Amino acid sequence: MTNNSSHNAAFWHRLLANLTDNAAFMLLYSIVLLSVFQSQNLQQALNNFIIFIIVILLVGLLSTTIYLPFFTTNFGGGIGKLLNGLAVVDNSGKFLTFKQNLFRYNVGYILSSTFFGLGFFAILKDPARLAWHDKAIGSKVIVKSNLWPVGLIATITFYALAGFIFMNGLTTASSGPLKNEFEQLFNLYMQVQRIKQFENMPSADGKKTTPKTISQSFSIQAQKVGELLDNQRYNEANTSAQALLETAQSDYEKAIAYQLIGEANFFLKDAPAAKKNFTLAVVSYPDFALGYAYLAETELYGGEWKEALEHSKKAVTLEPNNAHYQNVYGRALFENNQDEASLEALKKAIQLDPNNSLYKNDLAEIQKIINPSGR
Amino acid sequence: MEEKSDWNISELYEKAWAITKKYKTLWIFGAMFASLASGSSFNGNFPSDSDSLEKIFNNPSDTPEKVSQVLGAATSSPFAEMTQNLFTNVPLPIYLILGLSIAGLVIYGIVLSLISKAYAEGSLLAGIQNAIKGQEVSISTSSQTTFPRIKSLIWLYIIPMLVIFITVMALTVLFVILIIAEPTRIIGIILAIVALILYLVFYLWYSIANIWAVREVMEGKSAKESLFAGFRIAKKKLGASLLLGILNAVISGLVIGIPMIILFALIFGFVFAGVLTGKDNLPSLIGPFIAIGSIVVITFILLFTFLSATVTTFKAAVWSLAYNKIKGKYDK
Repeated sequence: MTNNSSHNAAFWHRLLANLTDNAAFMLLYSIVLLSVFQSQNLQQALNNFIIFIIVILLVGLLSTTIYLPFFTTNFGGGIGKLLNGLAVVDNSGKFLTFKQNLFRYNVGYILSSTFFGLGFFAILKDPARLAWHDKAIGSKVIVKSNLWPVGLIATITFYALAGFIFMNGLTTASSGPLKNEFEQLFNLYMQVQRIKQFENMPSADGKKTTPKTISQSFSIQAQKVGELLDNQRYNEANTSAQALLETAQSDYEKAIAYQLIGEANFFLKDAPAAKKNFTLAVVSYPDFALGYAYLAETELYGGEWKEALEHSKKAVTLEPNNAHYQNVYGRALFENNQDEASLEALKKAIQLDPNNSLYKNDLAEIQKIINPSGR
Repeated sequence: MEEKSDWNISELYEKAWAITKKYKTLWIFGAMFASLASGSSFNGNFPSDSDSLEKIFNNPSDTPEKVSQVLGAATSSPFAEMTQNLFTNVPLPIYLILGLSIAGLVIYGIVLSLISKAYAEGSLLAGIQNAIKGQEVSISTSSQTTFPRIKSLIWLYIIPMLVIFITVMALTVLFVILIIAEPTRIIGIILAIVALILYLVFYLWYSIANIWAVREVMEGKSAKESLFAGFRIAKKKLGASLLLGILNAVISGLVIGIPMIILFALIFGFVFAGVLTGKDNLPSLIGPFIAIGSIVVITFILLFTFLSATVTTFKAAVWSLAYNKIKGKYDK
């Protein structure tokens, strides 16, 4: 396995081989991490991030139990040692067995890590250039062919490639859709914090709200989005509402923009996105009754009865004379088995808007289920 | 029952200290074993889960209450709700693979620590025996002696504990049934108390037996043979072994404890001095605080590693010297 000219490798040569191995792993990690950066939305990013964690765990587990023992048994070392021209052999110059290598890379490395890795630095002082794990197992690392320049170039290349992929991924993430999603999440977090602070500081009259500030230009743009929604051009409405959000100055304007995005999502049958945006609307402006009503609508759509009741109740509390809100509240009460209160709210909605056939329909349907002998 | 002491404690300590001082290679195994072994400082390898049990008994209702509070908070916040949704929507196979990877890593960790502990203890004992005989003490010779005995050492770590665990579980179920049933309640309680006392006595006996058993394994005996030999020695030398164990515990407590107390006092003194100097001076103190703090922490870690390595080696040498005095004497 070895020729006569081979000699035991120096500390620096072995360190370089170790760095080459690390660089190869870094390259692998950066490739997997790239999929996280290139994700189109937060959900995809999270899925890919968990996959990235799985890869790290598996590499950690398999590198010392399969990869290194297998390669060292058959070729004298892992990719790092091979590229540097090194080989792990026993005292007679033969490759170690798989069992010996398994011990060397696991228990042996723990031994050398004792006293803060002194066992690895022992190579510097030992006349035979042996680490503690070498002494334990009866192994040595020899220079088969002096390939350290190849190893050095490989190490630098691997690190550079890993760095390039990482930076490239970072640039993609910071300019792509993921950035917006992260910003939204971050904003949501910040707004929640602001609301918490706000709730802890009641004003003189006890009312906790900011003024409904809205500029004329914003109002015109918002109306245009509204028209797109009326004309069932939901995709265009969504794009315009996103653009509107960029121009929003006050919390109230942000709430309106989120509301419009949410409505577009709702009609596009993307319930999770709709719910998220209605949530953002009410978080942006906590007294935004319309947002609560639509949030409740979406929750009714998704079968989340309890939440629907909570949010529709909030909407009617803020604006009790709104027929739409009373209708949603009535339906939410019905789903929560509060029949009498449900009928009362549904009737109130008709009282407020006597010509609305949808409200009359809802009442009739629900009355049919409840009457004559209850459910 | 118990025979006259076979050893002189001061002689054991004197020789053990000489060995510890002379053969620094043993510290390597001592440090490795100390970092992997759990349990009391009685002999360095008492199997014990008392810490985790204590935590459970002290805070029986902690976890559920905290979890429910956290869930309550999460569902009431839109941000938490959104992040919760994100995690809920991760496909199940991804979670399964993640779970399997973590489980694999945990199993790997347990197996690795068992093998490493057996290797470290075996090598330490082999090295000490070589030192007593005046032979070469090296990583190589100690390791070569240990390799064929690793399986037996692991057997000693696992099997007796497993038997004890299963027995305790079975008896607990039996006593619970007896106590629940009205006619046998009194008998059940009495039997449970008797069993608890017997268990404590047996556990003490087993712990001492284990100290001797690992040394029997290093003499080339099988794990089972060694365990029984360990029980025989522990029976004959229970009092003397207990005394030695208590002394060992006191010494390690003093050697490791006192420097640690001094270091902690230094840390607290430093923090206290920082507080006394007042808030206004705080920004200018951050630099020196970090520098001195780092030095103290590093010193703490270095000192602890060094002391635990030497104390573990010393205690193992004491027991090995004592073992040599009675080796073969209680085989029958």
